[in-house]
Amino acid sequence: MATIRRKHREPVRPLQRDPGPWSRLVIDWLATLAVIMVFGLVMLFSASYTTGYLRMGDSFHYIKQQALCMMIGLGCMFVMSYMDYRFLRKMAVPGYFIVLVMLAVTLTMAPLNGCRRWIRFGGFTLQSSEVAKFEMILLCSSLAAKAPQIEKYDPARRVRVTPHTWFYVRVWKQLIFPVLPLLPVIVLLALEPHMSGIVLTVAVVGTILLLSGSGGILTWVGAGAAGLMLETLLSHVDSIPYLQDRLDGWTQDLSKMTDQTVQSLYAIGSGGLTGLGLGNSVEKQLWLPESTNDFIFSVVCEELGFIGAVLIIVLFVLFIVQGLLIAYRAENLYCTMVGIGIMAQIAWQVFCNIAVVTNTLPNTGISLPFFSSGGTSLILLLAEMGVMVNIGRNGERAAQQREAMRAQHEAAKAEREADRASRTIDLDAARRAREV
Amino acid sequence: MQESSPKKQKGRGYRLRQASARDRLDTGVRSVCSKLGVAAVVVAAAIVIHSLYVIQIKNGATYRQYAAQQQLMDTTIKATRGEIYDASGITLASTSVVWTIWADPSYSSILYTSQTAADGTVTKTLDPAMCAEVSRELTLRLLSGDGESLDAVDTSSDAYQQQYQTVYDALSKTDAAYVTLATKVNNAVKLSIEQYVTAFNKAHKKATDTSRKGRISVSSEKSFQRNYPYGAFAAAVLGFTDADGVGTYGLEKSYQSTLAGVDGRTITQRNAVGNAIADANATTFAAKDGSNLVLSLDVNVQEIVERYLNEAIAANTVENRGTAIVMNVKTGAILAMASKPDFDPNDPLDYSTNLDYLNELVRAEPELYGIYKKDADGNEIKDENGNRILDEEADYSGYFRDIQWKNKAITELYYPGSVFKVITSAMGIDSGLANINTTFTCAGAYGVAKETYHCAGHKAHGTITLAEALRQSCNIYYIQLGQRIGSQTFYDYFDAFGFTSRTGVDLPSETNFMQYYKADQLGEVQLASSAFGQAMAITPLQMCTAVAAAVNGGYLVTPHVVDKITDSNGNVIEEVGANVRRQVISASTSDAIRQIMEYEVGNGTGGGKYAYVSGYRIGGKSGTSEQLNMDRRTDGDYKKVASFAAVLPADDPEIIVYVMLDDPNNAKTDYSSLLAAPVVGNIISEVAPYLGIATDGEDRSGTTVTVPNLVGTEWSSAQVQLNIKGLKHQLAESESSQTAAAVTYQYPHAGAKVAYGTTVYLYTDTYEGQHTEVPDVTGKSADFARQMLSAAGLNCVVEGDANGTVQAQSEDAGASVQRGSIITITCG
Repeated sequence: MATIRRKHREPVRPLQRDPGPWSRLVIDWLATLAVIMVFGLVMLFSASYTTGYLRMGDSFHYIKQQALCMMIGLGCMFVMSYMDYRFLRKMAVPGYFIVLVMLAVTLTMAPLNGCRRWIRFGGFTLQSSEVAKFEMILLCSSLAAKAPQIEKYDPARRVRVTPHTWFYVRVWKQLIFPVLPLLPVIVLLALEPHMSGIVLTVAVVGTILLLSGSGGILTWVGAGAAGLMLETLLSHVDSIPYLQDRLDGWTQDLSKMTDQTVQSLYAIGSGGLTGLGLGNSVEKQLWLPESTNDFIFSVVCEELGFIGAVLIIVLFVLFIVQGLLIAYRAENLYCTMVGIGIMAQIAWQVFCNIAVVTNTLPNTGISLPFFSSGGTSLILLLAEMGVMVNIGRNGERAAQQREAMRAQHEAAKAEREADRASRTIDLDAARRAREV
Repeated sequence: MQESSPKKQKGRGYRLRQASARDRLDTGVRSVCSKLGVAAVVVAAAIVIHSLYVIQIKNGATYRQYAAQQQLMDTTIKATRGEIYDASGITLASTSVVWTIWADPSYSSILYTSQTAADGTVTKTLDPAMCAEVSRELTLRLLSGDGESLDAVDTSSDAYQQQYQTVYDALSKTDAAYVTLATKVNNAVKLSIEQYVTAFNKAHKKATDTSRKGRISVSSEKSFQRNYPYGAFAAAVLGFTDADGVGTYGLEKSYQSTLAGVDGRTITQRNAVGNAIADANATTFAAKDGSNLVLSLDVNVQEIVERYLNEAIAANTVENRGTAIVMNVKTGAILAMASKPDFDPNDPLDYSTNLDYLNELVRAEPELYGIYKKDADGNEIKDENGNRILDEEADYSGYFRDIQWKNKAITELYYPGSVFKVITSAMGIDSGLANINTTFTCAGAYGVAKETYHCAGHKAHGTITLAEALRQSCNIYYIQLGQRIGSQTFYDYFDAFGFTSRTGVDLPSETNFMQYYKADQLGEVQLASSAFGQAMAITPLQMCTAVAAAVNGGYLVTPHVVDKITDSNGNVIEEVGANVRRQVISASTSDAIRQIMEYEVGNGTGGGKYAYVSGYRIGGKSGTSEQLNMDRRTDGDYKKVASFAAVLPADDPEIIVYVMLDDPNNAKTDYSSLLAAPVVGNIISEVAPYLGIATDGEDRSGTTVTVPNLVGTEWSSAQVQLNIKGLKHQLAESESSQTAAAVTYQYPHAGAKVAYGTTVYLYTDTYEGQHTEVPDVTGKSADFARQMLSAAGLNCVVEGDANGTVQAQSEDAGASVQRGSIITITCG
């Protein structure tokens, strides 16, 4: 690669004047996002107006808050799309300590439903685990991207690596070292307790390592093994009553299920193929707890049916795949990892949420991105989308630069060829010329 | 340093390269990982789509069904019960909406402080001050009557303390989810309580300096209350409803389905807190309100009947209640039907007002109502003679209620006695075996088989005609007439007169256990006893319908209380007219019966003279029967039943007035002609003018009547004297009980010569009459002047041209004169 190493570090400005050109991919991805957001807002209104009216005395209670947060979120997204990812990377380490402090402060707050998850100041509440998740994406990506690479001298030769080197690079530098900062965060989240936060953060970091090839085949084998052991693991969590309660409700027996799950299944089942029609859900009439939040997808299924639900899943799949492609086209490894992390977060949340409402997974409090009501989550998600835009545009510029460089290279080569050709004497031609 | 020198590590073929900020993901890794990543996303999507498929498509119907079951709301819309009106449209029974106020103390967080222990158990500690405040506010509203005049409630009254304690105790049950605070609360109070609760909860939404944050949960439930505005009036006819509004007695029971209507239903979807939600598929079946009953019963007639019946029962110590019936003989429409003492349908379980009476009744009839002592195993304890021992301490309340609820006219049997002679007469005449002049000889005693029969008082009547026999109530005459009629014919007529089956009156619980001898059971003795009414136990109403048939031209009609059934808008749905069951006797026989019955009353000279009211043609028959199937009285004689049936006008009867006193204990007499006939006479004296019964047509306007001395006579007897003489009576209302009270003062005084029809004012507890002011009637028409004077309590004599206007009045307007004074007005 024709890269020039800079020995000195350039001063990094927080904002880029021009993050880079818009690529078709980024625009498509943004379009998908816009569709999902509008869809989400419509469904939230449909799911929340009765609850809002009956619980809060205002049909627009939830939708007003969500729309406001979406406005703020879009502002954040815009700012973040101009924030230089290098600056973000620089801020990853100080940010980590800020997050640890935030998590510690959260533990001092008054508990709600037995959990301390929110920081309250004034009328504003902040779910610190959401911030922690984003920070861990940045920090772990930064650390994993710093890991040294094993470079071959000769591509054709088979390389044998000494176990010591292999362990040092593949296991320590690429896998263990990047996840070490995760441990204090997990401990603090476990104290809240916030199991879904832990699971999600670990899953997101794991996915970053997995999809960036960190640790090579080892990561894939590990992930596969973890997946196989999941069930065994879940059956051994009896010691934690908080978790056990939730797992006890995870059964196929309707009579033993938690009411939330039963109502969710009623809602989804009621939808059938085509659904009851937008706004016609009955389960949202206080039957389904958290119908505006974790269980909004059940209402979607009830109102729009199987077709609507699959449409949403397909939209998310499209969105995530486009996002991953943006990540893989990024300027450098760090950007790729951050992109994977952000998209993995969305992917995991969507998957877990739908799996929970369909009783495929035990009940965890994971919200559906862009659908569930929840200000912190939405604002942070949109901020992350801003980072994605920045990555995508920088990636596009790098790609164009690479393209330009390749073109330059080709041109130089062609010139050289031409030059050589011009200096090459064609004997036949010379002879003919002489004969003339 | 991680960078290795290639020279040092020759042969290994690699080096560790420090990561660079410009490094991109290795192309190979990128290609593999991106594909794997996309594949993972697709697999995950496939997993959740499969789950959705299973839930929505495969098992969708199951979940839909469960959800529908849970969301279905099937609400009953209560139909309003129909009302009951008398013949003139006066409401006898109506339904009003009332509310039950209830609370959920477990949800009323302001009333207690809760502490959660380490093991999760919650301990609730009552906040007495807050509970007291809430209880006080609720009690004030409950007792205010209108929900507004809270200051007017007397907080020191017992009623307040009682209600307050009920509310406080109920709210103190902090674990209970449903406690009733008050029932039968009117709408204004309910609204006031709702307002209070809403305001209270709003005020306590946030903690303040003075109180904690919390709420109270108080709600109301709709229910219906049946009201009987006249209380213990026509109670046996109207009956009552149970707590659920289902008729359990009387018309309320027999017309239950008509009155109840049909409850409606709404089937719709509901939310989780039980409220209906907008649902395009909601189905509503509207409630069909109950129909109203318009009775043939007339409150005025009923009032007159009940008043005199009550008086007679009290005055004659009637121990087994009495009954009275006024019925239209042609249509069977019952104008009044009373069983006294009775109950207040507003509170049918309460027998306290009749407690002494019922106690005596129950004690007097141990063979009917005895509750005997039992040992622990439930076996009856016997005394040394092997007799059961009456349990004086036993709870007789069930009997008490049963007795006071029963409609004596249709549920209890009695021996009709001499009243039945009317029927025997009809049998004889109609069968052609006798006529009005047929004679038999009464020698004072008559032997049939081994029995010897006597007439009342062992009189020998000699050779008498049918009319005379009825008038003298000669048993021996009727035994011989019965023998001439014969068993088969007697039974055929007995059956035809409707004594062997129910009358079919539209009231419940009419008994069908009449006791009588069938044709083949009517031996000599049985036939002899039957002929004068001492061998069959029938109901008073059966006797009425039979007498009615005997005098109305021979038609047996079905008696009925309900005249019309109207819907909630007043439209007539069904009209109950005369239902003639059959013609029993010929019109000419009926005519003969009317004659002999009129002869019995005979212008105040016959055996039933005390039932006579001058100016009317009245036929009647008294009956004093012996209750052969009951324990004897303390004086060793049989218990008696005194009954009297009168029909008027005798030439073409409109109504029958029937009174029956079961087990009277008047020291002076057992004779019905002295016990029941005066009651009938007094009833007729008020009912006949009210109903406009045709008079005898004789013009007595010029006649003068001497006022008899009534002071010292019992007032009801005094009235009977006046009835017979053609004077009207007016009993002044008295502070003390008027039962069997003697007249203490009368005006006009004894010996005064007054015009026929003059009203004599009677007093029972004062020795001087009340005064009244003479109105100014000059210039009025004579009729109007008479009405004005009558309303003022004065008698009126018209002089001059009765078609002119009043020119002068004998007492000046404004003068204070005795009530009953005769004012002469001069017209011209």
